[in-house]
Amino acid sequence: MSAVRPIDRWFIDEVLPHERALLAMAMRLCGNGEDARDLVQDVFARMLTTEGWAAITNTRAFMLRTARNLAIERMRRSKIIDFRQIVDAEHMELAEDAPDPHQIAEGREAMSDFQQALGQLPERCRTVFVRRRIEEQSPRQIAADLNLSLSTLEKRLARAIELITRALEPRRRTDYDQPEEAGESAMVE
Amino acid sequence: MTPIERTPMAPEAAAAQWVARFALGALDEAEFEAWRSADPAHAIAFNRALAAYEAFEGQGDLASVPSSRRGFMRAAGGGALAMALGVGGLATRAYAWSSASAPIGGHCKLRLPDGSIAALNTDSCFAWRFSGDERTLWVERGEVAIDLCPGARAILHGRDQQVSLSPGRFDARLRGDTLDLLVLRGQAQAGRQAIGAFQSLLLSPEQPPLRHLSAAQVEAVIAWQQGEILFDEATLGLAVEEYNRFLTRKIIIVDPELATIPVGGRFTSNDPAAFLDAVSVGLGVHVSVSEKAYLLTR
Repeated sequence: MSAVRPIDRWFIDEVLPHERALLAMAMRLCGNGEDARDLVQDVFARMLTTEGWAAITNTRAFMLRTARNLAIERMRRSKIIDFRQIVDAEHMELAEDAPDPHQIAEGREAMSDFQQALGQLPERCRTVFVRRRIEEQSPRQIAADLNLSLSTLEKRLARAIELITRALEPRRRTDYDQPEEAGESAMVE
Repeated sequence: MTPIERTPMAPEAAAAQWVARFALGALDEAEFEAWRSADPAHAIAFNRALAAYEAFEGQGDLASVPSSRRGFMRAAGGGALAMALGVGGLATRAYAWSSASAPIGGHCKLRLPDGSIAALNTDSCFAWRFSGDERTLWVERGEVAIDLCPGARAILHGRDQQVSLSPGRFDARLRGDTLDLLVLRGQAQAGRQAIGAFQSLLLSPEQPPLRHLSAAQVEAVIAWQQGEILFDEATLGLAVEEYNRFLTRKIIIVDPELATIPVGGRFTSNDPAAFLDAVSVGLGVHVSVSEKAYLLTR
C-alpha cells in the first residue's frame, strides 16, 4: 500500500476544499466553535472510511448531509434535547448546487494565503521548504549546501509543513471562533 | 507548555513529520501505516499536512502561478507528489464546472456524470456542467470525441460558438477560433443549420461552412482515438503540423519548399520515429535531431 492512497488524493482534492462550507454549517448546527470543529472532524473521519467514496458524485452535498445527520444523532443522544435545534437542523437548506462564495474566494486566494504562510515561517524552516518543495532540490544537496544532517533537515521541513498546515486551516481563522451573527446567537446560550 | 498539555496537537505535528519524510523519500511505509491506521484523526491530519505541502502548485516562480482553478493547476503542475486517479489524463473539478485535460502526447477517456463518454486527444482541455435540464460541454483547447447518451438538452461550446447535440457520436476540434465539429452518429444543430452523420461543420465566429466528408476523411479525423495519425492526400506541411500536436519536441521544416510535398500514410501518434523514417527514406528528406526539435532539410 502506498502512503498516498487514491482515497487520500480524493480527500485532498474533493473533501478538504469544502471544509469552510462544512464548518459554517456545523456552526449553525452546534452553536459553538468547539462542537462544530468536532462535528467537522467526525464528518472527515466518515469520509475516509466510506467504502463507496469513488461513486460519490456530489461530495459537498454528501458531506453536508452527513454533517446534518450526525448532528441530529448527537442531539437525540444528549440528555437535554433542544428541539429548536433539531427542527432547525431538519429544515436546514443544504444548497446542494449553489456555488459557495467562500470556496470561490478560496480558490482565488489560495495562492496568496500560501505565500503569506510561507512568508511567516521562521527563516531556517522557510529555506528548507523552498529548496525542497519549490526548487525541487534533492535532500542530499540541501543538506550539503546548508551543512545540515538529514535528520535536522527533516525536522525543519516538518516544522515548516506543520506551520503552513496550521496557517491554511479554515478552523484556525478567527471568524469561526464566534457565532456567525448576533441575531442567531440568541439560541446558542 | 508540557508535552501532556499539548496532546491535541500531537497528530498534527506527527502528520507534518510523516509528510516531511515522504517529501524527502525517507518514509518507512510499515511504520507509517501503523500510525495512520491507529486513529482516523491521524489519516485526516496526514492529508491536511500533505494538502498544505502541496498548496504550492506548479513549478518555478511563485508569481507566475495563476491564482484560479486550483485543481487544474494541480493537474498541470504535476509536482513530485502528484498521483492521478485515472490513467493518462487528469480529471478535476473547479466548483460547479468539472474539467479534464490531457497533456501533449497523452490521451484520456472519461465517463461523464450522465454516462456519456468523452475522450480527450493530445494537449486538450474539456469542461462540463450538468444540471437537471441542460448538459453543457465546453471544448477549451484541443480535440474531444464525445459519445453522448440520451438525456437532457446538450449544448457544446467552442470559443464563441454553440451547437446543440442530439444523442450520438461527435468529434469536436478547436482550431484557433474555429470549432470543427464532425458528426459520426446523431445530429447537431447550429443556429438553423442541421448537420447529420458524416458531415462536418466549421464554426467560425462569422459563418458556418458545411462540408461533406468521404469515409476516408472521416477515418483520418478519428484515427487519434486508436493512437494513430492518418494522412490522406495531405502535404508534408500539414502532416507535420498535425504530428506536432502530439510532440513536445517539435518537427520543424527548415526548407519551406518541402512543405508542399504530397504525403500519405498511417502512423502511431506518440512516436515520430516511423514517420520521420518514412519522410527520410520515402521522400529523401534529411532529418536531424537537435535538443528541442527534429529538423527537416533537403
